[in-house]
Amino acid sequence: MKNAMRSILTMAAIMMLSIAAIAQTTVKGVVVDGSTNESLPGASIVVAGTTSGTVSGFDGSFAFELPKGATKLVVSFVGFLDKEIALKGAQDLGTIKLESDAVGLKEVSVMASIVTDRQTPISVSTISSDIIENKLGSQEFPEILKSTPSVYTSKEGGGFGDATVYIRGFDSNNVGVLINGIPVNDMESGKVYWSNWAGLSDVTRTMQVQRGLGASKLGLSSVGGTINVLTKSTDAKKGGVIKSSIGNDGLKKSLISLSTGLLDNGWAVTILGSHTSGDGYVKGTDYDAWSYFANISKVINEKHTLSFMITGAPQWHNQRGNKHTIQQYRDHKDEFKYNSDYGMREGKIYGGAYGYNYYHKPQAQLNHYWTMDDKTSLATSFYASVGSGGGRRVYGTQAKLLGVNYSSGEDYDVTMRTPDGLLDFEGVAAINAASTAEGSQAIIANSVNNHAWYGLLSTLTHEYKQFTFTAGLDARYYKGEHYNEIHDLLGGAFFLNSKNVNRDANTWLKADDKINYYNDGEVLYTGLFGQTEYVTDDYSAFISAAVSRKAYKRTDYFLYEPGNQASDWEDFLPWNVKAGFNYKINSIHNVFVNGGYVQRTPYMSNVFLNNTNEVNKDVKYEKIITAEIGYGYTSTNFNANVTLYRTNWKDRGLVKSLGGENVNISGLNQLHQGIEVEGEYKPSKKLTVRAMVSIGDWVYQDDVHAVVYDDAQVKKGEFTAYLKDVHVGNSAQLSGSASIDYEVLPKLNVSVDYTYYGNHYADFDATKRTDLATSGDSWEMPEAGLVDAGFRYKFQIAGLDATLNTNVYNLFDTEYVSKAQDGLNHTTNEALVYYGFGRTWSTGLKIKF
Amino acid sequence: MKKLLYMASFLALVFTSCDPMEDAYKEVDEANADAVADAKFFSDKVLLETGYTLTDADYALSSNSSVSGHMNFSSSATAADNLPEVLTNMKVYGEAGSEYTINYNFYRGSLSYVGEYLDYLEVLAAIDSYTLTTADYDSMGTAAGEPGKYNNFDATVKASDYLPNFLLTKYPDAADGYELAVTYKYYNGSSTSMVTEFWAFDGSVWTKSDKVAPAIPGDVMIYELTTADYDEMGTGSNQPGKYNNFSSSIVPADYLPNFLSFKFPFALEGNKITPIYKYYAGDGVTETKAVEYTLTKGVWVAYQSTVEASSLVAYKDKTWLFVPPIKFVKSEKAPTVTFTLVYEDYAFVGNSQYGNFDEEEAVVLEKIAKIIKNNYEVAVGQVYSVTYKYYNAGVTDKTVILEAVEDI
Repeated sequence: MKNAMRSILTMAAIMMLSIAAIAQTTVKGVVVDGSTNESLPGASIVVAGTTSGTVSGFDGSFAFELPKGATKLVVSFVGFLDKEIALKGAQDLGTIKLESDAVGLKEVSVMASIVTDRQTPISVSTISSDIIENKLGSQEFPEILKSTPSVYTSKEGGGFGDATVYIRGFDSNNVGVLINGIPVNDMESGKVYWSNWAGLSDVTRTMQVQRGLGASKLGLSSVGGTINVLTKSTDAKKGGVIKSSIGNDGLKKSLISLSTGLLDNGWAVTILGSHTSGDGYVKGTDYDAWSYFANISKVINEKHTLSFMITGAPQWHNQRGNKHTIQQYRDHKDEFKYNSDYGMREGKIYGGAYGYNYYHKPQAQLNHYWTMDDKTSLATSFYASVGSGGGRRVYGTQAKLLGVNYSSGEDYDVTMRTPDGLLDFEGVAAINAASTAEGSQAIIANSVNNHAWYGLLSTLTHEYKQFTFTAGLDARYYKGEHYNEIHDLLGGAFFLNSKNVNRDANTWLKADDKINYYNDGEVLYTGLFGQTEYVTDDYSAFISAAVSRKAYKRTDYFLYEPGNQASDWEDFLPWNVKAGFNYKINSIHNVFVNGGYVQRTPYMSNVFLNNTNEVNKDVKYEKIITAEIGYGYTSTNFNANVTLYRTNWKDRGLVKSLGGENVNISGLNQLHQGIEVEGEYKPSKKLTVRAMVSIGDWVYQDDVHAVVYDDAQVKKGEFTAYLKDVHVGNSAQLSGSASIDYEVLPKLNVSVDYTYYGNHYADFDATKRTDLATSGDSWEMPEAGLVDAGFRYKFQIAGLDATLNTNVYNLFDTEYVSKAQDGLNHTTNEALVYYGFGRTWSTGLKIKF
Repeated sequence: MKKLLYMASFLALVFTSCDPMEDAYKEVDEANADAVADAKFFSDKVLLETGYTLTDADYALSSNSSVSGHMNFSSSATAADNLPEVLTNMKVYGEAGSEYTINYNFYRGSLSYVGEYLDYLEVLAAIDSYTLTTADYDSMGTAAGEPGKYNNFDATVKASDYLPNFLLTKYPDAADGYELAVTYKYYNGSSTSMVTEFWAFDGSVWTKSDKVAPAIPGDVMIYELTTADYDEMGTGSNQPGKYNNFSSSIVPADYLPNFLSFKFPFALEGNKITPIYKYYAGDGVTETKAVEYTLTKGVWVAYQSTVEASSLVAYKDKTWLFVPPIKFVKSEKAPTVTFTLVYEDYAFVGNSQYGNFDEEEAVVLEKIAKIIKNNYEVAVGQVYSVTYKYYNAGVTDKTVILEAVEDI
């Protein structure tokens, strides 16, 4: 498979050497974005009523010989309104400006720190809306990023929306996710649960991965990178879309979107709704999800535009919560679709512990764009998101009846299974029913995490000569509510739980009663940021800094008596500074360098120890020092980028709970460095080739010292976790991809994508690396190469534009491990794994009207 | 053409995508080879969860004919030699490192004196006997220093000095080879007892023959049941007194314990009595039998030639091992084996989390004993110096010296 990597490189080299001949010009021009004057590569230039034409190069330019009798050109590009140009024979059309098909897009792009290649000195990959539309299909939303460098996406257990994304080896805690510029990482834990955002794939217009520090001016502590998602806004043109698709394992999806277009009175409304359901590729992972989106824009006058957006995606999905050994999958009748974590209840699939999730997290934004004058603008967003939902757990004195030992992937001796090998809920119900004195022995509860989040984000931009000054305010208030709630007594009459000091332990608890824990986490965040950018034709530079006050407060309704339930606010004052410089050597070559220092507030669980109001006195700011150097090459039909990076993450804290014990690991240092190469080649208007290679070297730098505390916060012991030189797991350190898109017949495109993963190490539990004798490197997963294929046909139905789009993922049904947890001796045999999906497919019809 | 070339090279690249899991599966198969072999090995075997008592069917699995024939172990067919094989053939296995108590029948043999005494009674029955009367002693002289003085013999007035002449006189017509059991009184300085001796005539002289009464253990009393004794146990049909004997339908064991209690109400715990009784064997044959009884917890218990016994066995490396009855005691002797516990040792006794001990000393010593037995072939007399990590607000090294002694 290393040969396969070599093939990609060789192919890229061949492509670099070939330079397509350019015909003697009879008509030429440069296509640019009308609002930013940035060149638009890949725009289509067609003689009206014919198929003859060309596409613009990477610098936006085009030139081609006109057929006889051509009178009109149609210039079009996804995301822009078509432009017709009358022809008067051979000529230079100069700059052709396309106008965005969305209202307020430019403004939101600025607020979201969407950057322009070659101008801002950071490494970035942009996923255009046509790639999202053509290739996402039935994949999980983050998976669309899999062909960008240093990104690893995985479906994890395979449940709907359970996918994760890692950038440069960092997980979602360390990857900033911004939707229209608004940060959405959980305020307490820093995590992003994509299932909360299951509707995003329907409403995303473009997506930009900024690796490393990124361009966001906010005080983000995203070490690995930033994923900027720009949703649709309001369509400038009246019309609508209906889409219907089907796929493997009962996937059904329908979507409708309607737009008024920009009306004469300045109003524009777009609404969208979709419904997705299916059985899931993995056994026992059926799902049902809705999504909605509405955007109302009002262009008040030349200076003011208001835009209101709301989107949400209520969903439930059954999940797979446990990894297993390779042998356990091979021994099971369901093989790689084996899911140990579900059963049947009342005739329906019923997930057990970690086997079911439901969530709804609407987010609303009210954006105001104020163009004060030619040089000054103010973009302000008020936003709110209210999430509610949770995940299933099993509790009770005999919870193991429905449990799987997560550290071995095996059932417990007492685990009850039906003859089919499913969790035996009915059997447990009989035990519960018989326990008339003690109450239910094993119940289904939900671990509920509700939150309310309100924010204000305001950015003032002022241009002065070559300088652009930006300053802003980022204020947020967040309150999360966390508790366990009885969902199903599973045949018993009641449940006993002694965890609430304010409730008699003999109280008979029923469905919807809270058990185990009940606490609120509040976060108050105030951030100020500023940036100065200097741009000339040849070079650009920026320096930005942000400082914020982040305060945590914890209120516990179970552990403390009224009057004593709330902690004080715990304040942190992290800051960051970053700077970059880009130099355009000429129209072909550019180089850039950037660097930064980021201080990060520890997560809430590191501040308040062991889920109490007890404050961790040893908590430290985590520190990240990072630098990048990059090179860009741009020609008419070929562009490429190379980036070298080095990120040092210091004093990382980690708190782990092990049964009644708490392990506090501090001073974890990680070094992530590597090289990323990305290129795109368009030898003709029919053929596009993209390729990427990223080689990372991500390791832990030192052995660390850990302290174990018991329930009562009494120090129980200490140990050394042997981590030095161990590779960072969960994400392939070597990845490559090559994709080819070819218009084999007019309007019929076929694409093939190859993705390669290597140097992919298993994740590990630092608390199990306490013996020097078994302190070797984590298990390395087998390298894997996967092929996806796509087929796209554009045609007309009753005068309406229609597209038939089919995608097959993992075409060759390759078996591979996508995620692994390391065993004690780091062997293949011990590792607990998830397999990646085998061959899956989806096909959809989209009609625009 | 160029495009086709690209397409071709791309497809070529695509088909280099081999099976990523091929090597992984090989590794798993190799790693699991032992587990698969184990699974096969254990597939027809049953886990012994606790101790076990051998059944007749189990003894029959022994290749030792004494064990399989008699359904027991004995001093010649020992449990140490034969028990592991029986367990193996029983297709049971144990948890590695666990010790199990196995109960079995142990044949300790019959009491030799009982048989000898019965033989002796038989001999006695076959020859004539004569008990000296007062007139007899007097006939040998009544002066001081003569038998008739006190009508007995003693250390100075020896039976061997007087009996040859007495018998010549008493049996003048005795044939050559005639044997006679002579019973006389003997005074040992404090008490008088009856002594029976065997005398033979060779045609001219009486000499004491080699025959002697068998030795009876000093703590045993022989008691021959009298007719009155049988009658005491009932004289109805199917009762001993009817014919003054026992039989297959009048089982001695049903009567003798109660009889002894009745007859010897003041016997003490541990006293031994061997009643001699008649047993009708059928076909007109009546045998004389004897069984030793011991007063045990207030009950007269018959001697059993086969008793229940138990031994420890351990399962190690898929093999049953006989565990010599050994225990460890703290010692100050010079160690014969010195070692320091390693992680696997802690893990073996359930202390894998931190690789040290934090329990109270008795538990630690018990765990160390288990570890020693797991690591070494322990023999009585070995002295082990064991160094281990002990956690008590910090980890310190401790050393303990343990001697293997017999565990009785």
